[in-house]
Order: sequence, then structure tokens, then C-alpha cells
Amino acid sequence: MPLGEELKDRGWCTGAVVPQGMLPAIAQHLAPPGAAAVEVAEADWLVVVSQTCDVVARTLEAEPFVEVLHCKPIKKPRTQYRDFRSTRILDFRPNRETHEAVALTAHAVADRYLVPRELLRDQTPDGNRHLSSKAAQRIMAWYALRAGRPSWPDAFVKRIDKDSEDALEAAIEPLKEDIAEVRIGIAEKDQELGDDQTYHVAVYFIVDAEIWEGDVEGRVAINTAFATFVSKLNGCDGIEVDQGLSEVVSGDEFTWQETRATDEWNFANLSHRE
Amino acid sequence: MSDIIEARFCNAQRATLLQRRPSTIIDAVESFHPAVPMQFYGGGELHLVGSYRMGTKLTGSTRTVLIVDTDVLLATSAIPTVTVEDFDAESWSLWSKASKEAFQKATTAAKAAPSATAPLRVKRLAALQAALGLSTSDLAQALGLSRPGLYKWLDTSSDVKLRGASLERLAAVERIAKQWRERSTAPLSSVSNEPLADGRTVLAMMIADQVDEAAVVGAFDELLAMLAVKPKTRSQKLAEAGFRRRPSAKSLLSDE
Repeated sequence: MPLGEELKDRGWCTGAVVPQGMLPAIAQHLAPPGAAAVEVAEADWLVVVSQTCDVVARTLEAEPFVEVLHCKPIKKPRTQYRDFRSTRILDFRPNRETHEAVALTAHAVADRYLVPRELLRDQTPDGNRHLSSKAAQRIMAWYALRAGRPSWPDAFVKRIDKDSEDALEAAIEPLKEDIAEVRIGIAEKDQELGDDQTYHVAVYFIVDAEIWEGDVEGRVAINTAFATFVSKLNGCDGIEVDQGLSEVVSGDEFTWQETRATDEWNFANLSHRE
Repeated sequence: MSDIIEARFCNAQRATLLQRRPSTIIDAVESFHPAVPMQFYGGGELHLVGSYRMGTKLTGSTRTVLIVDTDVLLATSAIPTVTVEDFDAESWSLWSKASKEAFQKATTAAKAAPSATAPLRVKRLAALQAALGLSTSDLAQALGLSRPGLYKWLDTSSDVKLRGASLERLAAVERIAKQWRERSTAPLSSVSNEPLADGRTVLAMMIADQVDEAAVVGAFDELLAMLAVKPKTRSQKLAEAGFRRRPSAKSLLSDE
């Protein structure tokens, strides 16, 4: 039987947890470069974070390794590390249905290891622990965000202090329902400006076309959020919002060109100053 | 760059010359540029702070003048009035120095104590935008404002007061929006630029100097008929054919 099918039959997939009994077999692979292998405590979760299609790839040559993430228990998710606030550290609930009170934390790079895929062949995942579908999606989205986020200038990021960041986050709280996307263009996006120079920013709230056409209350929330967001961002010293360009726009009207000229606003984009 | 008013970290929104900074105002006046009459406005609490003209009826001469509107609000009351008659280099220097202090004081005060009524004003405007869906420029025109003026109204840290003609115009546009909202969940902008039977558009009627509410509302039935036969957008066709957009990462709600 091809390796991929075998692993699939055994239940290996994104979000599967490596069982304690399997740790001795893979211990040598759980070591940072030049360091001793880490200890995986019984309460820790060693989670498969490769995409399922890669985990069950037909041949070993196609995907020689699987990626696993060493997650450690914490009391509860911390504000600065949950909900994609940081691209370095993620605090999350692994499975509310099976482990309601458990919260975990992991570092995107320092806690990630490559394990030869063939070592999974004779094993089955932990039968009592696995990530919920939502938790697995969140981890994959977190990695995608880390890899795909724009690199904004440090000098720009520093001008958004903690209070402003909190105010901006509060402003766009109503958009969490996925009714609109915030995009910003930074004219000087490749420049580290001096203190006496200003970053010029265009802000767009792109409204889901269905909301734009049929949900007045949704549009009220979006327009309120836009006004507050622009006001708060413009209030940051050294950042000027271009009032001639910034708009609330229907998703049917925001073009591909405009998408390419702007970045999705994400608080993770500010996290490299940590 | 003038060293009279330093640009560093002054909030541009509160002191703008066509969205530039107080220092630009000073620079422009100092340069005595003779080409065009200009007016300088500050955003937020700062109203007309000065104008500089060449050969206008204000002076009856060709000399550059600087005036300061005495009808400024409290925040800029520290700026002294300079008239044509007593304008000279010394008065300019005094004015610019006082202006700098007033700008800084106003900026600090505005940041420290945003108006309690500002959020209500913003919500009112947001409701209006939600019903109308006009671009910022069109909405500003409908309200008889400049685009920066509308942003000032939308600024939660701004203490701008709505009064007089502005308030009446806002109320009129709100009544129109309410009437439209009772008839459709689509924004008025979907059809506001479509020519009516008489050749006019509702948008043109709304941005006219005098808005004829009855005429605008009277055109709604015609607009609703247009809306009903409006061709589907590409995204509507995709959705109807079963193609849905992927949920974004932020829709993976927190488990907390």
C-alpha cells in the first residue's frame, strides 16, 4: 500500500496529535539546531501542522517530512497572542468540545519541527486529543498570515502606539463578522522616514457586495467603523490619512489594481516590533 | 521649511492647507506667492486662520495681505487679528508665533478631550452614508461641504458643531435618506446617477445649491423601477451559480 494511503487509513491529518508512546521514536528530530532534544511533557500537545494533502502525499519523495508544532499549556489565551495579534506566538484553544478548559501556546518557528513522514507509518495519532476543525484552520491561517503579511516600515509601525492600536482594533470590531475588509495603501511603504516626515495613507473599507446591496444596518456599522478608524489613524503622530482617496467601497467596485496597490490591514502586520 | 511653526508631529487633520500642515501655511505666506488668491483652513476646531490675496477688493492695492478671521472658535482665539492697515513684518512675526502656540494648544486639547457628542454625530452621518451609499465627494456636496469639511464632521476627535444652514441641509438630506431607506435596502447610489425621464439625475438634484426634497422623493418610484431591472453584477452571477467567496481568517472567531 502506498505510504499516503497507509497514513490516511491510520488517521494522520492536519491537527492530529502525536501520541506520547511515539515520542522516543521521533525524539532526535525534536531538537533545535545544535541543541539537545526538547522534552515534550505529558500535558503538551505535539500537533501535526502540515496540510492534510501533504501528510497523505502518495510517495515519500513528494513529501519527506511532516511539520509538527510543540504546543504547551497555559492558563488562558493572552490578549496579545490570540486572534492573530502576533505572527510569532499563538495562544489558542485546541478543542472546546473535548478539552474545554485547555489553552495552548506555541512559537511559529521555535516550536516547529520536521519529522520524517515514514516514522508515522506504524503509528496512529493520539486517540484522545486532536485539534478541532476550527483550531486547525486557525493554525493554518496563522502560518499563512505570517508568510504573506506585508512588511511595513518600522518607522511607520512605531507611530501606532499601544493606545492607538487598541483604539483601531476597537473601531473595526464590528467587521469581525466578515462584512468588510480594511485595506490601506502607504505611499512610502518602502521607506523608513525620519521623525520630521509623514507617512501618507489611503484607507479603504471594502464592503461585501451582498451587504452593500442589501444590509443597511451592516453598512451603518461599517461606515461608523470607517469614520472612527480614519480618525484614530489620522490622530497618530506622523501619519496622515489621505482624505481625497479614502472611501467605503463596494466589493463590486474595488478593482484588482487597487487591491495590488494596498495591503489588508491586520494587527499582525504591527507585530514585528515585539 | 519655516522654523516659525515646526511641522514635526503636528496633526495634519487639525491644521490643513489643502491637507497640508500649518508650516505650509506659513511658508506659503512668507513666500509672498503672487499668483492666486488663497484661503487657508484648519481642520478640527481650527477654522479660517488666514487668507492671503493679491490685488483683491480687500485691499484695493497690489500688496499681499494677511487677515485672520475673528470668528474663530475658542481653540484659536489666541491668534491675534491682523488687519490690512497694520500689517507689516513685525505683526506677521507676532501672528505666526501666536498661531503656532494656538495650533499646538488646540491639537493637545482636542486629543485630550474629544467631544462627547462627536460619536453621535458620526453615527448620524454613518446612517446617512449607509442609506445613500454616495462617494465621500458626492455626500460632501449633498451636505454643502467640502470633502475635508465632511471628514471634519466624521472625525470623532473633532468638536465641530452643526448649526444653521449646515444643520438644515443635513436634516433635509436625512429626510431624503429615510424615505429611500423605507423603500429599499440598496443604497441610493445604485441608481442616483441614472437619468430620469426629464433628463435630470437624483444625484444632481441632491447636490444642487437648494435641494428640492419633494422632487427627489418624487423620483424614487422611477428609481425603484430602474433598480428592479438593473443587470446583475459579476459577483451576483457567481453567487447565484454557487460560487461563494472563502471566509477570511478573521471569520475564524476566537474560542473565548
